[in-house]
Amino acid sequence: MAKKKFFFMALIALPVFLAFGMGNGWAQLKVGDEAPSFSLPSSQGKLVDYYRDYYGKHHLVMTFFPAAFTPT
Amino acid sequence: MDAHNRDLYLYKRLNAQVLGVSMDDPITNKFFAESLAMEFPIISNVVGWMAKSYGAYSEKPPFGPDGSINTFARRTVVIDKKGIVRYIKNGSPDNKEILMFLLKMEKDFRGQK
Repeated sequence: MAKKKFFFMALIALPVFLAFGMGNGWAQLKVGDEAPSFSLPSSQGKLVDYYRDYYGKHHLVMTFFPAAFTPT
Repeated sequence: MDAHNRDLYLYKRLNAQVLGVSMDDPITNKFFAESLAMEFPIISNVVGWMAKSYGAYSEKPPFGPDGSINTFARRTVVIDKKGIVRYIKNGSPDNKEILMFLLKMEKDFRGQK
């Protein structure tokens, strides 16, 4: 019985460990890496997908900014 | 953002496109884009995983209530058309530096053909 309990606990703990324990191990993006793909809604009313819209066609300058209506 | 919009014709000449990324919702971004008459799209990543995958977050506050990231840090990433990251710079974008870099990169690409 104790063995079964342990088994179930392990069953629950494993995904939790995978989700949170390994989350800190994100590799920092470096020059020369492959760009992570994305597909997100844009301000122009349509979905922007990296592989559909830019890959093989255009270079892409991505600029991350904290919030809308912030200068510079 | 304004400066990128101003230099958009130069980016186009170098076969580059500009994309803004923020954690606001698309409606807010739409109004922001309209207020500056922006011609390039801003994508919204409300959940914020782009911060982790592109490294665009700062270790300093403000954080969310649970200590998570709730705003992106300013960062510019240039990806070439083969999907390789070529340039990363934290802080406010330096358009002249980006344009000079793109010019060099586009020359390399044209030289390869």
